Amino acid sequence: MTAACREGDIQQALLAWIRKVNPNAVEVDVTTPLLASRVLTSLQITDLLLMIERLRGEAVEADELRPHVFRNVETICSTFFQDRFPVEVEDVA
Amino acid sequence: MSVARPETQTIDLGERLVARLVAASAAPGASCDRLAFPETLPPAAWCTAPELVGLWGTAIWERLDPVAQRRISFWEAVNFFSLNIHGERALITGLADRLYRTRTKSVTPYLHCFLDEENRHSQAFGTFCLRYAAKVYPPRTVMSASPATAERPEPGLDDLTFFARVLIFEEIADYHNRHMQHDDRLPPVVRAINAMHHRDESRHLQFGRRVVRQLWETHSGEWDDDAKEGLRRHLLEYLRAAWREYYNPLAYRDAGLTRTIDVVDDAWAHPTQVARRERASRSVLQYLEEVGVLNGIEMEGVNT
Repeated sequence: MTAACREGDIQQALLAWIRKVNPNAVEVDVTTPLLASRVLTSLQITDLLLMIERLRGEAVEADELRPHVFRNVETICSTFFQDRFPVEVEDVA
Repeated sequence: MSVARPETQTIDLGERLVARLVAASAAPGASCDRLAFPETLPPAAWCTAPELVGLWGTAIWERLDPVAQRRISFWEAVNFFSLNIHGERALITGLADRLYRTRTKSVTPYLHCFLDEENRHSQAFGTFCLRYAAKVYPPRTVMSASPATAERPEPGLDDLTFFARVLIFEEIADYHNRHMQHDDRLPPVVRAINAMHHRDESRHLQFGRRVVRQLWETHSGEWDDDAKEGLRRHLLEYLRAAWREYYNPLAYRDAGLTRTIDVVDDAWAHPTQVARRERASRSVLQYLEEVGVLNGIEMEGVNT
């Protein structure tokens, strides 16, 4: 599987998680603003971070998590997964 | 042209209570000035009461030898003090923002004491973390204004959201402080930090409970059902997020465990831990229900 395809898997896993957390977010895509359009609340970032860590397979260690990092699925992927493909994404959602 | 509504005094607990709280804060022994930090901690000491460790009750905990269990209790203490530092930073920001506002004029003398004590607590927590672990764990959430109310003009709603969040955060921390302040298994410095925090928090909690009740009784009649429901949802979401910080994969990694995300998931879901969270949250949830802020004590959404 190519890196691009793996990235697509990560994006799909994140979108599935978002739809599970917010069943009203049926039309969310990789560019949908997550906090600005209230698909997620800032308090749900804690759970989102854990989901990101499940996909990465290890904990995230950042001095400070800024809201813009979580702007949408694309920014999440470029921040947390850019150097991590390929990864396994099965059974984590 | 829109004209901002003039502020009215919305938090008024009476001069006598404010004066009593200010006097209690100034009393000898009410601050953390006299905490003694030894150069090192006793080797293989419990630094968190084992029953309050996030892995207590889980299969992985049972498999660990006593030294490894104590090592985890040390890193959990570092995490507990770290999350308190971040919680208090948000608290300090919110309190400072409420100094000398028309609506908080009568309680401003106590807000100064509150701020001073929170700053000292953070100093004590930070000293422990840096001296014995050379680190403070970063927060696992993003800082933001209270989103449930940020765009709502209802008088009192933003203040109530803030003080109810503070109450939730501090009541959970205080549950841990109360249980560890006299625990002989812990080194004196750990007991002393917990005791100091509990002593000050008991005043903060008294203040916070009165403020929450007064804000609710004064203003909630003016809010529509959407505002009240949004507030309830937000506070339960906050409770969940606050608890999530108690299970930090970085602490488990530093304690030498592997597959730390699985460790967090297993610990979070374990019935022993679900019961712990329910026990430690019961008091504040009961209070918020009694006041009328919550409709019932509902932990299901918090624990799933």
